[in-house]
Amino acid sequence: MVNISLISTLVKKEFIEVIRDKSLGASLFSILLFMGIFLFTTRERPSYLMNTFIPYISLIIGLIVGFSLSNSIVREKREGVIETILCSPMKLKELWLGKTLSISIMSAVIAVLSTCIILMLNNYEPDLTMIFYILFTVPFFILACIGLLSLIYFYLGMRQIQIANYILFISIFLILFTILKINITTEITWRTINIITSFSVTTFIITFYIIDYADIEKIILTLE
Amino acid sequence: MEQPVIIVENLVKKINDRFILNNISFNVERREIFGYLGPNGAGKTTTLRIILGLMRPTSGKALVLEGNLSKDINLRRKVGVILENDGLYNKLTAYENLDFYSRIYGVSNSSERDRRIKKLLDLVGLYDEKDKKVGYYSRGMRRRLAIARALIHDPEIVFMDEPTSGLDPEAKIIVRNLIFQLARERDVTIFLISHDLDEVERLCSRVAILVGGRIVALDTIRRLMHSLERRSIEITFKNMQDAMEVAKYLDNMGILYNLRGNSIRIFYQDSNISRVLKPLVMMGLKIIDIKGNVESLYDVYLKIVRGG
Repeated sequence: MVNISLISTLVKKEFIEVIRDKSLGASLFSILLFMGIFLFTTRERPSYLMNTFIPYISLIIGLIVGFSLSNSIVREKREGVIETILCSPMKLKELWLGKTLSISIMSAVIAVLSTCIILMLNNYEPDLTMIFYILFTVPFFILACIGLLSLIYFYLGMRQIQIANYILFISIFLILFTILKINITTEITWRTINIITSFSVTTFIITFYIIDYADIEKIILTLE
Repeated sequence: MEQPVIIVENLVKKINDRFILNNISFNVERREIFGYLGPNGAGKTTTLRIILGLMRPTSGKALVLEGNLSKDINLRRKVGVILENDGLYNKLTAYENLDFYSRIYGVSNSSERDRRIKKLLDLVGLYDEKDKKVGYYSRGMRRRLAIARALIHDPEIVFMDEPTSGLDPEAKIIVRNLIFQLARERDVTIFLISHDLDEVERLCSRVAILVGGRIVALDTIRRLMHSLERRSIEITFKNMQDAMEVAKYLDNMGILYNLRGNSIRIFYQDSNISRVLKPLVMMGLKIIDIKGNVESLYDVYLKIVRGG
């Protein structure tokens, strides 16, 4: 169905590109800034609040990095690389999967590491639920979101992508603002983990199958 | 007789009720350099995209090596592509770019990959720059690397969309020689879309001229030029009166001319120039210069495109 060797070639190439790209440094800097602000504002707070914030913080860090790295799809569309790749034996699905996996892996690694640093600096000892959430639920959620975002980026024209970027950014900030403003005390439980993981897996599987029916002509026409 | 490697039959493409391509048909033979010309918006890139399987035709068919590139993934291994953009990764070096594409095209043996990459980098004159990131390459170097990229899997056919566009004259000559070398030494069939008529005239054996989604001319360059050729001779006289006297004579003979001051440009067909020149010499007019003009592909192209 999909050629694993092609996908691993693409993932390896993406890693090399991201390491050499200055935009990764920029997103790491924003994360450090974000973490600094977060650590400063949560220093005096009780530990139950940490339990409330951590789930959101890890997701937001992962999504911001993923969002920033996904711009490589837009750049490659503009530079005609996607069109050249689509003329090769690599299928659209393999291209999508390679991009999604590489971006998600990098975003998830950064999100998990940043969360661990925040936890350590706050002397917070996570329970088994929290560990499972950070190590499995967060990466799956990031994978699902990046998969969906990549598919959207393939289909949208350059102008539409700019509009979508604004909408996404505003949404992330609104969510963050709402979380910080209202006093949510819901803790991460196995039930919430199940809901988020199921949602992520379902979204990813649906996107995985939708890409089979993707219209390459529509993608090509967005290049103009 | 050998089957053509590219067969395009009655190809129609409509987008929003507008005909982008209207009943296009042509064949490309093996080892041929086929030129595909036309003004902007004529439908050249759309034809290429349909042949490459990136767009669907509204009706008709486009076959490459008797197969359809949109359905047969393995067939794509026999085809190389250089589109308007180079399709190169700026953050990777030339070597890494070629390595990536060779893996994608299924060159699995690492020593074979290394051999091909080095050979091609040498061919396009970029061996010494192989470890430099492509983002630092000039436009000409990128174009040469794109040619190497398109050849990394040893294709039978290479599709090129304006390979020399935006290059300086020296880089154009290098790329042009490379294309010529490809067809000669590697037996590669080349489908060349170009705006550079000088390039097409030098490289292509046959051309198709596309205007408004229709093919208005399809032949060898020699035959096209012959069928539309309008030879002319420009004679400059010492004074204007002589030129006007000749104009009167040409009017009587029914010969087409263009009078400009003391110069007259006489248009003639085939070998009737002596019929025109002999009486002029007999008239004892003072001629100070005679220039002969043979039309280039550029003149023929303009005539066809403007419906002349």
